[in-house]
Amino acid sequence: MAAPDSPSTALRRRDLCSRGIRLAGKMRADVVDLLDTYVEQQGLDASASVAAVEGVPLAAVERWDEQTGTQRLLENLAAYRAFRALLAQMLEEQREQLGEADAGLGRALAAVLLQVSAFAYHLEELLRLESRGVPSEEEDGPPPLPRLSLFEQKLRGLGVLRELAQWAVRSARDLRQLAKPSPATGTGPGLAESP
Amino acid sequence: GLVQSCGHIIPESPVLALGSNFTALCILNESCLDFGNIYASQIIWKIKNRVVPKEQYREINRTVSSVTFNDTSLLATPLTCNILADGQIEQNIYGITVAVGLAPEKPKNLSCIVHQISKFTYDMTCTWNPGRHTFLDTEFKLKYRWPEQVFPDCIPKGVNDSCTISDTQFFVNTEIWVEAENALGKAESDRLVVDPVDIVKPLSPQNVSVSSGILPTVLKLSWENWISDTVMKLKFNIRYRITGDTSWMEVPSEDTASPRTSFSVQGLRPYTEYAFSIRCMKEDGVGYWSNWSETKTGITTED
Amino acid sequence: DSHIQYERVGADVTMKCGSMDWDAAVTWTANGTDIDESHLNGSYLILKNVDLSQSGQYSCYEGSSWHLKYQTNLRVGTPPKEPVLMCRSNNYPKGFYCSWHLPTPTYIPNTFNISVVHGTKDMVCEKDAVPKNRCHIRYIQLFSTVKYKVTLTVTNALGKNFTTLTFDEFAIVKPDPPESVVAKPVPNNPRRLEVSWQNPSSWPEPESFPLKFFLRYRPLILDQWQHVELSDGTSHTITDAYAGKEYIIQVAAKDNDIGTWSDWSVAVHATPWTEEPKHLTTEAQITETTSASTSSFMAPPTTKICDKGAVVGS
Repeated sequence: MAAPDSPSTALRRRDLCSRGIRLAGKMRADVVDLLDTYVEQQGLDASASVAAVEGVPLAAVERWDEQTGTQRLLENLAAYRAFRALLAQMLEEQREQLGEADAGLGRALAAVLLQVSAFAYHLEELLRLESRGVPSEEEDGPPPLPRLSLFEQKLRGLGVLRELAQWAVRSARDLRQLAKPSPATGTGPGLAESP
Repeated sequence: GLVQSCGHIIPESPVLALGSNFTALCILNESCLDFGNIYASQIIWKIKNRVVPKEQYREINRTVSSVTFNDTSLLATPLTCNILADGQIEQNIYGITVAVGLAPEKPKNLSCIVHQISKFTYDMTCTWNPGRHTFLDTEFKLKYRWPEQVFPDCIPKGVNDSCTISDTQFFVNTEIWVEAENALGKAESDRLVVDPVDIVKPLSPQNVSVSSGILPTVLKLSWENWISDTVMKLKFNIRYRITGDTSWMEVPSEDTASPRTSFSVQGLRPYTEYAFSIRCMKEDGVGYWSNWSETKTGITTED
Repeated sequence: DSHIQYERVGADVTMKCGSMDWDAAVTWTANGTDIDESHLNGSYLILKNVDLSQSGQYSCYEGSSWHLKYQTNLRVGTPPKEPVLMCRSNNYPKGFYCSWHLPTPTYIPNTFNISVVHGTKDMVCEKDAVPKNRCHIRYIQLFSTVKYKVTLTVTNALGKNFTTLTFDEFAIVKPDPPESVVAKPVPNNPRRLEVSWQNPSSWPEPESFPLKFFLRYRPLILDQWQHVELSDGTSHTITDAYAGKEYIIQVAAKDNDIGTWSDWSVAVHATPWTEEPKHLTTEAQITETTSASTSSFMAPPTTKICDKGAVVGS
């Protein structure tokens, strides 16, 4: 059973969680807007089903409510690090394909990339708060992404943004779980055993 | 000519602190000595064609003469080393530019505000007190970072006391500071750590409309909030006056302290034209009030 | 041998009298009533362009012995049209339910079969005892971008039809309306109403899956609603209610992150607080009341005088 929080830790966690939840909310709204723009600009079908794309972290999870706080943070962090690499690649491909022809999409992608970085930072801070080692980027880093054809790149981009939109919802829920005062101590749950 | 490249001055183009002392050396080339029959003792130092008093000279040796200034504030550009060659014609051996100034002071009063530019665009403008005039080319950089992510510096354009960062990122504590640097030194402001969402000046309420209803003492205001509620929730101030009056009345702020897009103003005079204006800010009062909205008028119905 | 015979509305129906020959003397009854000879062709009963009213029990008796030779239950109906299927999660993240109905009745028994597939996984849809046309699916996975595909097949004796719904997990999240909505006047505040409500009891985890709310209110004398969106808490104070006017108030709910708004709650009514009218009875009370009222003058609460000299409604 992890030691209960000091008041300052609990305060810091609550602050990180609440701002993380707000960030996740904004990120989701921005990603949903970006998805609409992306689908239109790339000439894709909005209702197209995209098979699971290699390297894109799936938000879907079973027995979500049984996860411990640490599991939540580690899974979130791995996902957002992967998204950081994926979005950076998309931005690169975007510039190669369209150059500056479509600065709007590029700017929106860059803004979401920044939010993903910000969220990853929040997660790392939360892990540090719990004196949990933050996995190094290599450990956690995504596998190098295969070079794809233009159409495959577009589909992967669609898959990335869709999963990211779902992750943003999941993350907000995860952080709400973390922010819940644990019944025993009334302070933040010892991450190990948080429901 | 005779004295072409017959010597040089060191240091070359120095930048000197105002009020400090300075010594320069003029070094004659050996080749010129033999050929031109000139010696260090014949060197005349000049500041902008004004001869430096001889007491400040010192002949180091046959080929080197020095000049010393106890207070660089007397210095100007150029500082030249000249020789009175045979036939009493003064010839210029070498000249240097001298920059005199001050190291930058620590920039103070750093403060930042996030201006909402459009529905989705937020630019953060930081301003600071650059400190004393340095008389030198001094570069200011606005720097900002998260613990693990450093961002490109914001370089002020045409000014030295403000810079604007576009695409502000909310909900992350951002460390912001200013760096000032010139040839004489570097200085950093205190670090400002802030979540940009707490320093927002939102756009004022848009598309304000005033409609009268059944009651002759009531006018209903409606408007649009152009800041997404994923960024912040808003509170409002509503002011109004009878058209032509000079002073405004205000709806008690506690009545408009929560998110809304309309408000029924009551207790008005029947059959009278009123002008209204609204402003908004973050609901918890952290941040800046928007500008007042465009004024819109409406007339109450007859009693 | 009595059995059920299903026929479509408008069909022509021919019934044989069991094993009797065509030219045998027989009597046909419908629900016990003799059928006119004009409907007979020999011993066959001919029913042209049948309609719903012709459903019933048809019996054929041998002419002389009145032995029952044949009996059937004619059920006139229609094949099922494409069923209307709706899936919704009002108890997210526990699961979702699907309910269905036929756009038009078939007048004959139908059987419904529903299949729910999530990606490649078949999911169990547990039928409700009541209402019959509904079943529940428990979410095994959350936050999935894989779509759910629900196929409802309806079959009856006259035909078969089906409909398919494909949707995302988050798209069908629609809470039930807020409950226990209460609106109260605020003493000494002629323009305020305090509204409170509760999360719908069907919403299982409001702490982890918070709801946001939409409040609409209007005085009965007006048609146009005023709206306010509230993202935390289950109460709100209306601060610009028309003094003395009765208000109608409703609330709707939505998951904070996904899905759509609930239907509006039950409407509640309330009228802002109004000052008690003063009854002047005795001389003593008059003098007492008069002194009280002059000192109690209060600028209309919605007026805050910014600058000196500006006086409204004095």
